[in-house]
Amino acid sequence: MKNLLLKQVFILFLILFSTLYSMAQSELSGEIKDKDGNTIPGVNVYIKGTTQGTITGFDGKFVLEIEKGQILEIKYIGYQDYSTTYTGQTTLSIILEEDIIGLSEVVVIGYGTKKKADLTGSVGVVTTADIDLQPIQRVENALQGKMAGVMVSQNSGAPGSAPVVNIRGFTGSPVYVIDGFIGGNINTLNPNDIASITVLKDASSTAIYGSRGANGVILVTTKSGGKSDKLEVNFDYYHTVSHLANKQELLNPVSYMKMVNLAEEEKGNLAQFSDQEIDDVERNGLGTDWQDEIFRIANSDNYQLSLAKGGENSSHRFSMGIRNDEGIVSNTGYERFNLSYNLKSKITNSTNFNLNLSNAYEKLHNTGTRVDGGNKVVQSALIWSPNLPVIDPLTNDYQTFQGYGASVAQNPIYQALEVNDYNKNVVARGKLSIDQQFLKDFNFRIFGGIQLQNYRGDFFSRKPPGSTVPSKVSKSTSSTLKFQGNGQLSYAKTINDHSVNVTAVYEVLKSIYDGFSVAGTDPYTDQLGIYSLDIVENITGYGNSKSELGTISVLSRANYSYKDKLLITGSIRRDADSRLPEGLKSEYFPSGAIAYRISDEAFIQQISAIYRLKLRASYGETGNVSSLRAFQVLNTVSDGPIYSFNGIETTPTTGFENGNARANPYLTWETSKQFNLGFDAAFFNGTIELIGDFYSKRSTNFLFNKQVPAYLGGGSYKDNAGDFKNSGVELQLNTKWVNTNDFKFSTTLNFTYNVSEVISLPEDSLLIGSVEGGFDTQSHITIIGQSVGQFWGHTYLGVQREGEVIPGAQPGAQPGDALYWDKNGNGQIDINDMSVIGNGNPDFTWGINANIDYKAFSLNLFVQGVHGLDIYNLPAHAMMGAGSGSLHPTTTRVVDSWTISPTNGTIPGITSDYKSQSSFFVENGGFIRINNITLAYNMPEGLIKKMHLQRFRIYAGVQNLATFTEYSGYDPETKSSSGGRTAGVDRGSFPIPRAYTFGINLTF
Amino acid sequence: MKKIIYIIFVLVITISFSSCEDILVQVPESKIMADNFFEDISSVKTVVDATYGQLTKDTWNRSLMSAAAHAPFCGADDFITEPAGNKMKWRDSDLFAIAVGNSSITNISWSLPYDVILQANFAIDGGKQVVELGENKADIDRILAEVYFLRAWSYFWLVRLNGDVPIILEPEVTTTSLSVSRSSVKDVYEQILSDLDIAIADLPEIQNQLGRVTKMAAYALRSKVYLTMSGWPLKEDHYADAMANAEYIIQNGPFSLYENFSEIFDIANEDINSEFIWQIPATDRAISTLYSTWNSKSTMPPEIGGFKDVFVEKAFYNNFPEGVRKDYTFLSELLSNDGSYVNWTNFQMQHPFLSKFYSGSAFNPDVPYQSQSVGLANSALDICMFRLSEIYMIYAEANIMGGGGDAATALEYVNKIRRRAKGVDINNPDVDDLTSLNHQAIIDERGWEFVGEMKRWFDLIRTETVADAIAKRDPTDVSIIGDPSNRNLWLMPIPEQDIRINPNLSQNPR
Repeated sequence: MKNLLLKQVFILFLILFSTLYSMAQSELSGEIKDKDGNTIPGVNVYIKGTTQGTITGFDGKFVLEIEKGQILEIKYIGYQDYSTTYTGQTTLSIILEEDIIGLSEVVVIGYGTKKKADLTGSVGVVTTADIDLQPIQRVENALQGKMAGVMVSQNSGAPGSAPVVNIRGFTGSPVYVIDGFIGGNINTLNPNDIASITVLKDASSTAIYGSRGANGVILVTTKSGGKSDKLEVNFDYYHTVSHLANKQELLNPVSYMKMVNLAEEEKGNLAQFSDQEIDDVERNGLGTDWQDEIFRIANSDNYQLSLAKGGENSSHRFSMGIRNDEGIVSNTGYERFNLSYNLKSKITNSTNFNLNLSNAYEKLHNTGTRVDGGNKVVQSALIWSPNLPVIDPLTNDYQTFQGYGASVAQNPIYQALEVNDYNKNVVARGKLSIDQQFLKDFNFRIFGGIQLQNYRGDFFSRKPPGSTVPSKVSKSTSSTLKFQGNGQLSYAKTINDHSVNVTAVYEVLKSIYDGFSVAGTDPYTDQLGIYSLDIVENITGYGNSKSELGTISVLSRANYSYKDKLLITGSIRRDADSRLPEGLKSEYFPSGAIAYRISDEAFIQQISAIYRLKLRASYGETGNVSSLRAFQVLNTVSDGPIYSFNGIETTPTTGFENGNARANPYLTWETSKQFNLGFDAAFFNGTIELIGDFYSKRSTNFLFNKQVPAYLGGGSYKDNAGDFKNSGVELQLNTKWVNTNDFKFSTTLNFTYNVSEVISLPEDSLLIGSVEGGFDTQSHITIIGQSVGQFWGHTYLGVQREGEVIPGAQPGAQPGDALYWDKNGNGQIDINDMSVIGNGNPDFTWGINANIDYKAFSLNLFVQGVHGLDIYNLPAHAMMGAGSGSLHPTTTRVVDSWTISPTNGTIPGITSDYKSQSSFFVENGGFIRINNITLAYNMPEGLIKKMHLQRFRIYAGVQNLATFTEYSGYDPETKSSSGGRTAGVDRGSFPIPRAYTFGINLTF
Repeated sequence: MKKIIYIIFVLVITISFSSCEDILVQVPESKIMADNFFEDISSVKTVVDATYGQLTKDTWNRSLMSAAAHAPFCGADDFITEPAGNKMKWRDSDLFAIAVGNSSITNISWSLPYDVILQANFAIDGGKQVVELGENKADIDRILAEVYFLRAWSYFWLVRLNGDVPIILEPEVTTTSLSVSRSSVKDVYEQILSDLDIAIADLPEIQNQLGRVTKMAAYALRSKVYLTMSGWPLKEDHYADAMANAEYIIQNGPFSLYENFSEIFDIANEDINSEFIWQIPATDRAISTLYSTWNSKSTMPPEIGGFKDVFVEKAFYNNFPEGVRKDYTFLSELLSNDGSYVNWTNFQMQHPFLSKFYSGSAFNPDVPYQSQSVGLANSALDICMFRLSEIYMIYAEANIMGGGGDAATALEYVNKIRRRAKGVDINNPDVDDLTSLNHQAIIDERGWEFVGEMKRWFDLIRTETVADAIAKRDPTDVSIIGDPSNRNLWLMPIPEQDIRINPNLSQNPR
C-alpha cells in the first residue's frame, strides 16, 4: 500500500513537472460537463502517451499545454472514457457520457448523498426507470423480486394491502424514510411521485439510523422539478381488469350431499339427506358455487397528472393521482387520492431551500382481516355447503347453518355484503430543509418535518340471518402526529488525492398518538348503516388511548477517500428513547466500512475483461426500536373481563397488567451486529455487471414472549431472551446482451440465499406463535442450533389399513384412522409426540427481469422464484370437514379417502381425527411466478413532434400470469402470517388476482 | 440575509435542545399505573368485579357458561358426543382418554379457576392497601368477602379436578411462586375453609345486585365442600358439618322450591328465582359475549341448526324416571312439517338432547324443525351454580351418612323433589314416594335432578361409583377406551407448559 502511494505521488509530481517545462506547447482552456449541463470538478485530463495532464477545478474547468495532433484523454469514474485529437483550438467544451453501469448516479444514503462509485456499504437502488416498467400499486411493489436480499411478500391480494418486506433474513420490517422523514407513511405514498428508492442493507449503511436500522432502511426520494426550464406536463392512465387466478376444486352439490351422508354413516349416525332430497337438487340443478358468488371480475382505474418546471434558481413539481381499485372479492375496494408539491429554490448563492408538501387520502373497504383469515369470506366460500342457496326461500334472508357443513363460518355472501368495514386515512406531510454553505467547505442544513395521519374506521354489520345477534356499528378515530427536526453540519474537503467528508447531526423525533372509539348495537333500522350510532339501542363499547414517543439522537459520519479508489467510512449514532427504562435510556450504534476500487490499479487494468472491480467490507451495530411499544416497561392496569350484574354489563379493571401485556421494567430493544463482505464488478466494458455480498448478522436481545404459568394467570411478558444469526449470500447479475440504438436486450438477475440459526434462548426450545383452531400448542418452535420459523406439530404417518401395522404409529387405530407418530411410545397421541414438521421461511429466492427494446417497442418480463419453505394450509383442514368451522368435507380431495376406497384411498377416512396441528396440512410452499409481462409502444420522435408531444407511450400487460407451485391452496404467496419466527401460516387469505393492464403515458 | 439565517439556526437549535430532555419521559396519560392504582374503595370494587368476570372470560373456551366448561365431566354417564369428527374435547373425556396437553380441558380444569384466584389475590392485596390509606376496614372487608368466596370456589373446583394443586395467595409473580410445588388435597381444603370462614363472616345476607354472592351462597358452598371432603379422595367424615351448613340455609334463607319443574329454568323467572342461591348472569340479549353456548346451540341437534357438541347417553335417558322433569329436561322428539313427531331414535344423532336450558334460546318446539334454524349460539338464560333443591339433597345425604338432622325431614325433602319431577303436588304424599333413603338413591336422584348442572361427575368420583355408572352404558354407544375405575383418570392432566416453566410441578399420571 505504501509503495502504491509513493508511486502515485511520483506520477503526480511528474505531471506537474512536465506541465511547467513544456513551454513550447499551446494552451488549451477546457470545460467538462455532464449531459445535463452540470460542470464536473476533479476530472483527470491527460495527454495520451505522455505523463502530462491536469485536474479540473470546482468550476469544471482546466487549462493544459498541448500540441496539435496529440490525443487528449479523459478518464473519470462514473463516466465513459473520452478521447479526442487536439486540433489547435484554444477552448474546448467536453460533455462526458455517463458510465454504462451508472457509477456517476447520485445515490441517496442516510443524511446525505453519495456517488454510486463511492459507496462502501451494501445498498440497492431502484429508480423511476425501473418503476415505470410495470404498473404498481404501492411503493413496496417496486422492490419485489428486483433486489437481492430484499424479500417482498404480498400477503393478501386485497387492493391496497401492504406487502411484507424483509431485508436479509426475517427479523422484522425495515424502517421507511421519505425525503429524510423517518417513519413516513408508506401506505399512502403515490408510486408515481417516486424518483428513487434506496435500500440500505448492511449495517454500515443502516447504523446511521441507529436504533431504527436493524431490519434495514428504505429511503424513498420523491421527484422534483428537474433541470429543464420548460414546463413538462405528464398524464398517465391505466385500467386494470383482474380475476381469480385459480379456483379450488370443490365437490358439486350432489357429490357433497352424498359425502355428508357417508360421513354420518361412518360416524354411526342417520343419513343427513334422503335420496329424494339429493335427487331434487340434482334434477333442479340447485345449489351454489360459493366461489363464483364471492369472486368477481374487478376493474381498476389509475390517473396521474404532474406538472414540472425546473430552472437555474428554482424548480417546481406538482402532481396529483387518483386510483380506484375493486377487489376480486365482492364488496372490497381501495381508493386513493394524492396531491404533492415540491419546491427547490436557491435563495442566495450559498443558500438552498427545499419544500415538500404532500396530502393523501385513502379508503380501504373490507380489506385485510375483514376478508382474510379463518372463517372470513374467502375461507367461508370454501367450506359452505354447496347444496344450499344463497337466500333461504323460507325466510327470504341469507341461508343459515343447517346442522351440517360450515358451522362457525357464516354465509359467505352475508359476510361479503352485509358486513362493511371502512378504514380511512388522511395523511398530510410537510418537510422543509434549508442548506447554508459557509466558509467554503462547510454546509449547515436545518431540517424540519411533520406528518399528521388522521385515521377513521367505520364498521357496520347487519344482524346475522336467523340470529338474535343485533346489528352492530362502531366508529373509531385516531390521530398520529410525528415531528422530526434536525440540524446537520457537514464539511467536505479535497486536498490533492485525499478527500474528506464529515457530517454531524443532532436530531429529535417525537410522535403522539391519540384516539378513541365508540360501538353500539341494535339500531331500530339498518338503513343508516355505518351512520347508525345515534339510533342504536345500546352503546356497548367506548375507549380512548393516548401515547407519546420521543427520541433524541446525535450522530456523526466521516468519509475519507484516497484517489477515489480507497474509500473509508465510519459512523456513530447515540439514540436516547422514551420507550427504554429509566436510567437505561440511551445506546451507541457504531459502524465502519472500507472499499477498495482495485480496478484502478494497473495490474487489474491489464485484464481487459475487467471493466470495474470494487471490494467492500463493513461492520456495524444497529437496533430495532419498533420492537418496543410505548409504556412497555411500565406496569399499567388492563381492562378486566366483562361481567353482568343485574343484567347490566360492566367492564371492570384488573388492577394489574395481564395477558400478553405484562410489564417488564428491564426491557431493552433488539440489537444486531452485522458483518458484510462484497464486491461490485463489471466486465466487458460494463455490459456485464455482477454485484455480490456475503453477510452475517447476529441479532441479540431478541424479544420473546416469556410465558407465565397458567396457575399465575397465564399470559406472557416480553423479555430480551434470544440471539439469532442470519447469514446469506446475495448476487445480482446485470447483463446487456445487445445494446444498439434499435435493439436493446438486457436482463437483471438477483439471487438471495439466507440461513438462520438460533444461537441462544433461555431454554433449549421455546414454543411461539398462536394457538390456531384445533391446535394444542402454539404453531411454531424455536430451538437452539436450528433455523427460525419451524412448525411444531404431529407427524402424520398415513392411513390405517386393515391388518397393517405402521411402525411408530399409535396403537389401536381402527381401519381408516389417521396415523400419527407416537414419538414417546406411550400408546397415546398427545402433546409430547410433537416434533418439527416444516419451516415457514424460504431458503432462497430469485427474480429475473428481462427488457427487450426493439425500435418503438419494449417488452418487460419479470419472473420470481421462492424456494425451500413450507406452508401450514389451515383452510385445507376446514375443507376436510375436520372441524375448524366445518363439519363436512367440501374438497374433492376426499375422493382419495379411505371412506371411498378402503384399499386404495391415500388419505384417512373422512371422519377420521384429522389433527389440524399435523404435517398432513403442511405443504411445500415454493413457487415460481410469472409476475409481469408488459409490452409497450413508444411513439417515435418524429411522430410525437407532429402531435406536439414529448412522449407518447401505450402499453398492455399481464400480472400474475402463471404460478408454478405444489401448494394446493389459492396462492403460495398470500399467507396470513409471514416472515420471521412464526412464518408460513395460511388462514384463508385473499388470493392475488391475475390482472390485465392497459395504459397510456403522455408528456406534453 | 446570511446573518438572519444564522440567528434562526442558533435559535432553533437552542430551543430544540432546551425543550428536548422531557420527551424521553413516559407519561401514560390514558392508562393507570398499577403502582398507584389502588386509591380508594372504588378501585377495589372494580377488581372484585373483575374477579367475577374471570368466571366467564372466554365465551367459547373459558367460560362457565360454555359447552366447553362441561368437557371435563363427559366421563360421567350422562353425556356423550359424536364418535368421530371434531368433538374431541368432549369425546376424549367421555372415553376416559384425555391426553396430556389437552388444552381444551385444562382451560376449564386449571386456567379458569387460577385466573379467578389471581384476580382475587389482587383484590385482597388492594384492599389491604386502601385500608392503610384510610378506607373503612369494615366496608373493604364486606366487598373482599366476595372474592374470598370466589377464591374458595376456585380452589374447590381445582382440588376436585386436579387433586393436589399449588396454593397461590399473592398477586405477584415471584421466584417463589414460579417454583411452588403442589399442596396436598388436605391443605387445599383447609385453605378453602379458611377463605369461606372470612366470606361467611363478612358477606351480606342480601346483595342489591343479582349475580353477586351472598352469605347464603357461602353456606351453600361450605356445605358442598364438607360433603365432598367426606368422600373420595380425602374421606374425612364431615357430614355433620355439611348438615349444619345446609340446615342453616334451609332455616334462614329466603329460598323456596318451585312447585313446577318447568318454572326453575324458565327465563321469565331468572331475575326473581326463588330457588337459586347463586347464579351467573347472562346478558338479557346477545349484545355482548356474555352468553351461554351450553344453554343453546351447543346442546341442540343438527336438525334445528345445533352444534350437537354433546347429547344424552341412551342408558341415562332410558333409566331416567318418567314424568314432567324428564319431558322438560330432554328433547326427545321434533315436530316435523307433516305434523308428525320424529322420535330421538330417528334423530340424525340417534340420541336425545338436553333441553333443560332451552328457555330463552331461539328454539321453538311448536314450529316444524325443517322451518327453523336456531342461528347463532345465544342464550340469555343464567347459569345456576347452587339452588335450594341441592341443599335439600345435601341435607338428605348428610343425614343418612350419619351427619345428624332429622330422617323424616330428609325423606320428605327427597320426596318433594321426586313429586315435582313426576308432576304431582309437591306437598302431598304420592304413591311413588320413597319410604326410606339410601346413599345410592340419593346419588341417583341428584343425577336426574341436576343433569347438565356440572354435578354428576363430582358425585360419581366422590362416591367412587364412576365404573358402576359407566357399566350401564348402552352397548350400541361407542366403547370406552380408558378404565373408568382407574382413579388416575378421575383427575385431569395439568398444563404441560406450567410443568415446563416450573419443573417442581408434577404431572398427574394417566
